[in-house]
Amino acid sequence: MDHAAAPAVTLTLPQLGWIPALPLLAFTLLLFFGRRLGRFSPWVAVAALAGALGITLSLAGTVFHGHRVAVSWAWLSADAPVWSIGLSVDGLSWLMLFVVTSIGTMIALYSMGYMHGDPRLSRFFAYLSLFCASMLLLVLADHFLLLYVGWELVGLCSYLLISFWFEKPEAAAAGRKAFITTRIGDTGLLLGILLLFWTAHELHFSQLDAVRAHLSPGLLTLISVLIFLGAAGKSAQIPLHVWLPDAMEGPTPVSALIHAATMVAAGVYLVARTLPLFTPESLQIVLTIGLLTHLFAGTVALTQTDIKRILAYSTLSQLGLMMVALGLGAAPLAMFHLGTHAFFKALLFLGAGSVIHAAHAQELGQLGGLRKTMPWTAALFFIAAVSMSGLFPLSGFWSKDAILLAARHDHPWLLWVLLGGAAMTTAYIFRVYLRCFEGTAKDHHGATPHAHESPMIMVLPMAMLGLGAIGAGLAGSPWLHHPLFRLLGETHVHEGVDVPILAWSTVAAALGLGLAWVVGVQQRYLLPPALRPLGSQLYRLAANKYYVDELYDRFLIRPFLDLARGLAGFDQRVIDGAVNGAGRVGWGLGELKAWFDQAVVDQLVNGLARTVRGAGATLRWIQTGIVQQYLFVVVMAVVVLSALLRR
Amino acid sequence: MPVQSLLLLSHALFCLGIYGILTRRHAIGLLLSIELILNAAALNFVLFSRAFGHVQAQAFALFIIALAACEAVVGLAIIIRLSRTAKTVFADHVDLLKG
Amino acid sequence: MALTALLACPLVGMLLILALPKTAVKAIRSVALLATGAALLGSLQLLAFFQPGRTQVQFQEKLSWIPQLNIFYTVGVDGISLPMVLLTALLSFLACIASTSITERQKEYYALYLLLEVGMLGTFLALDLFLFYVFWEVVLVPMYLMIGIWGGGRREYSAFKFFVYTLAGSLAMLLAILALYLRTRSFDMVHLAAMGHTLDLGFQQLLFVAFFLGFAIKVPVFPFHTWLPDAHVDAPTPGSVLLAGVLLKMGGYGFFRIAYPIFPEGAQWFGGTMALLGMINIVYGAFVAMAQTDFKRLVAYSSVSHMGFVLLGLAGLTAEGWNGAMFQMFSHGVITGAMFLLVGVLYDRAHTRNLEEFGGLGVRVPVYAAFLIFFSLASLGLPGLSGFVAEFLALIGAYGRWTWQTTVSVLGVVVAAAYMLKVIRQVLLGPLNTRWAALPDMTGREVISLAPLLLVVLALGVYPLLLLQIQDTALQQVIAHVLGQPWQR
Repeated sequence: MDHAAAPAVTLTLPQLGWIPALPLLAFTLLLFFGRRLGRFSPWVAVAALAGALGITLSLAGTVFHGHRVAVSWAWLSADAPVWSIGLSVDGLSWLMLFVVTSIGTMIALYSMGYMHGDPRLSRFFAYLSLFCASMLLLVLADHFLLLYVGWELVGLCSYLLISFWFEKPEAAAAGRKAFITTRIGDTGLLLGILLLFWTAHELHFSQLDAVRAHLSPGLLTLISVLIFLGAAGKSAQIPLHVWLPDAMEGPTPVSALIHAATMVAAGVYLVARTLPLFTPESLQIVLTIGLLTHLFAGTVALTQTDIKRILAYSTLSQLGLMMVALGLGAAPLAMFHLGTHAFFKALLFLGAGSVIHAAHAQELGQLGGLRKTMPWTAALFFIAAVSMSGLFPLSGFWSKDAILLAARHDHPWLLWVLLGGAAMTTAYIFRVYLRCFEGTAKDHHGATPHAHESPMIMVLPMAMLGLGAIGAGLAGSPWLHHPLFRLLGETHVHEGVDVPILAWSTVAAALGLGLAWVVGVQQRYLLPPALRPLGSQLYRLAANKYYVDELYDRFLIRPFLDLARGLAGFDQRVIDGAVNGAGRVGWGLGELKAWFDQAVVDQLVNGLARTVRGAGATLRWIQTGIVQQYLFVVVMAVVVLSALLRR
Repeated sequence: MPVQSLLLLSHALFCLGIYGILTRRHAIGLLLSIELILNAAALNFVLFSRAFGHVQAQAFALFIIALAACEAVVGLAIIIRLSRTAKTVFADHVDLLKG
Repeated sequence: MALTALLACPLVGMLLILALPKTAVKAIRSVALLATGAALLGSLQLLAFFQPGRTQVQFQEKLSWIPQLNIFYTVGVDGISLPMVLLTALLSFLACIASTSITERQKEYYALYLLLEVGMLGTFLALDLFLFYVFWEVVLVPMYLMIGIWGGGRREYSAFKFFVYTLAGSLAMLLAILALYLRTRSFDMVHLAAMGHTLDLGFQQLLFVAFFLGFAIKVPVFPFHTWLPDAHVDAPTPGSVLLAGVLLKMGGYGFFRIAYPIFPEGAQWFGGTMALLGMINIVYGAFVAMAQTDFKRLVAYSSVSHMGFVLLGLAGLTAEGWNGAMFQMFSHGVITGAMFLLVGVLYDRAHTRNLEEFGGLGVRVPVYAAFLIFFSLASLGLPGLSGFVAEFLALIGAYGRWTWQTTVSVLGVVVAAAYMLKVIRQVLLGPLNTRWAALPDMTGREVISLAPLLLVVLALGVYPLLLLQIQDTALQQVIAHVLGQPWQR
């Protein structure tokens, strides 16, 4: 990884905006005119995605020459440069662009067959287009904030698409779980952005090297761990992995596109993009989490029986592997694996979708012998499985072996752990393949008798992805002189095929294949009888996904809901109670005052009135109303006065 | 005739009037008593005019006679109204101002 | 005369309505619509002629009112008040469209409604403390009557609580205004702000707290918030819209316009408490909202949570924080207004607001579902919509000064997602509750009342400079003033 060598020339290219804008346009069209477009609505989405793919390909020449293509504009502030956001393409993002647009186009085509006859067909393609637009925005962003925008929007689309069949309560719950779990991780990303802004006052990706030079290692570690928290949420790393298996409630093309190939890889992309901020300490954390996830998910995948769930755990495991590569500081290797993984995992999901579409069953116990009725699907699934197992010379081999090489270079012990993981990978994926497509057809649930090969519209995109699963890895092979690594800026790559690694990984794959056959299909016990109780306990542990969901429910979700309820009660009783209490005190004071008025103040006034009235009553006998009496008084007074005043 | 005795006469006339006004119950009687008082006053004016030689005083006596006529008219009118509304002409029957 | 004309629109409308006979409901409604529409057009006209870069108050009018006490009729707008005026005019017009649910005593209703609009507009336009106080109180009475007469549930209780509580707050404010007058012999806000730094610290602290009480109850700030859920729940739909959309903003506006510029040192002294209360508002409001089962109550508590961002941004005392706080006032007004309209739409049909009684309506009422999902997402702060810009700016603005408070506040964002998705799930998703199998979708009128809000939320989320460039100059100037640079108006 050497970012300093990347941008030689920066071109300004407004057409860049069209890459996310085309799917967005498709979304708008489908949202408002979807019902009128009817059966034609899928073509709108396909056309938009193909257009985006075309633009991406047209940029290839510029990008491969080491140029950056960028366009920017002011967003949150008219004058502060830190708030001007923009789009840019360099090798890293071009790779993601290519993955998203090419796989997106294939999956949109496939969905035409898969979703055929669904009453909300146009809505599905609208969401799919919106997802692609947001994902492309995320990838093209040259600014943390814009990336965050895309980041949340893909989360939204994931939510909408997981809950697409929202009449099913499980689907509704799964979508919500996915959104909230990833959002917990996103708060980490948000806090990382806040911290970065306040310490470095810079949020552009192109300036991260300068930022690294400015900040203290402790601060960098904190920022990078926070960013990794966001990546872990999106890429479903332990401990935020719980949403991804549940997300399989969504339609299978969605699982293939969002929950295998693109969105969940965004976490890997984010770490690769911000790698300059990561210190050795934080890389250690990335490595540990990635490794834990890789192994944990691998063991769970061995024990599951639902084919989509097995693939989901397999995705977790592979994402963990990419995180391991990032933890080793080898971002190009992680991105390489991301690219190959996108092809073979999307193909695996589409194959599973094809099976589900044909057999209307997704439990291993209900499937079997499908190779006879679905030869194309079986063959393509096989290719993808081989590719994922890392067998020479398919795509998975090149990317996985590059990671193994890097691991051997840094920590020799890690190589053996990863080889164990590779064996597990082969074991679980061939367990699926063997039990679905080989063996005898099952009568249970009337599954296989009805099964038939999927229509052309589904097989063709699968075949295209199959080509990718076979050949995409060649881009990073020494045969073609590593064009991919030149694109990503990696300078010190291994020249030629490393034979010991090739041998070891083949052995691991063969071991896994053998295990899959003996334990997965023949159901034979390999453990000596003394160890069987322990083995079955471990099996139960893994089959129940290590009880993580139950633990979360018990120790996080329920306390959370209790806290919410408790606070609501507190609000109602204590705070509102205090207000009402204050009101009542006021009321009581009023009553007291009223009583005082009546008992004291009124009594005073009334008393005065009574006194006056009493005096009046006693004096009223004087007032006889007889004029002569008055006159008599007057006369007498005059007489008396004149007598008194006599001189 | 000496002034002294004439003064006594007018004084007696005035006292008769006062007595009448305090004791008569009939409204006409009250009116007559008031005439007596007025005449006592008029007699005094004439008396002092003669004693001190002032002619103006006699004019006042004439005024008083005119005034008495007016007073009689108004008084009688009041009495007629009274007899119509209160159905009585006795002074002690009319005590509307009694408290 | 532009501002007086703006104020006159609803006032003339009110007088006209009072002159109309009680039975001419149609005429009354059209007059009200015309008056609020004219006010909206007037405010848009202001926007068109407003010069964002200028630091002075624009469209100012000053008439002597009570010369003996140095009281003037002074109105004017700047970057702080213009967004609020626009918000008021917009919501008043849309809530007037949505007032069809009022079926009795329409004449009184519309007259009071227009009086309310006069009060709200006046509060945001006034530049004289006395005039401000008068308008502030004018708002109280129509709202009280609106809740008390046209409300539901425990409407007398709620109306009374609302009235007494806010009156108690404004009493503290009145005392502070009088104290300020006795010290300075002036009611002129601009003049007072210019001499803010000359007031001694103790006096500033005391008066800031007094103004804080008045504004905090309106905002509302924890622990003064409990009138809000009651008042919102029992108010009729247009009342809730204006209550949440505009009345709460009067409190926040007071901080920007009065408390911070006039008492700069007092404000800085109070900053820690402000940030802490902002944090409590955000997190506490969100948690309490999570536990609600009544739709309207949930939205009401979400308002408490969202207004916390205004406090937090204010406390940050940075350009980003203040822009975020101001943006949040506008954006929250629009979003919550729309949410209450949506609750009203549902309540008019189902006659219940209990979230647990719904389910699966997404199939039955797709247009309603689209609106509800859109505004719920806006409310939980989805990027690309206006709420995100506001929250992000407020958080980033406050982070430098109040790091741990901001960090805890970010939690509120997660909880917001939890309760908003809970609403969507309980109302729209899951199997259709057969009780609502015949529920009709939104009518054209309802769509018309909501579509402009949707457009505003989207436009501001995609291109926030639309609003930011109006308010930025004025806000930067006030911050510079608060932090000690001389006043330049």
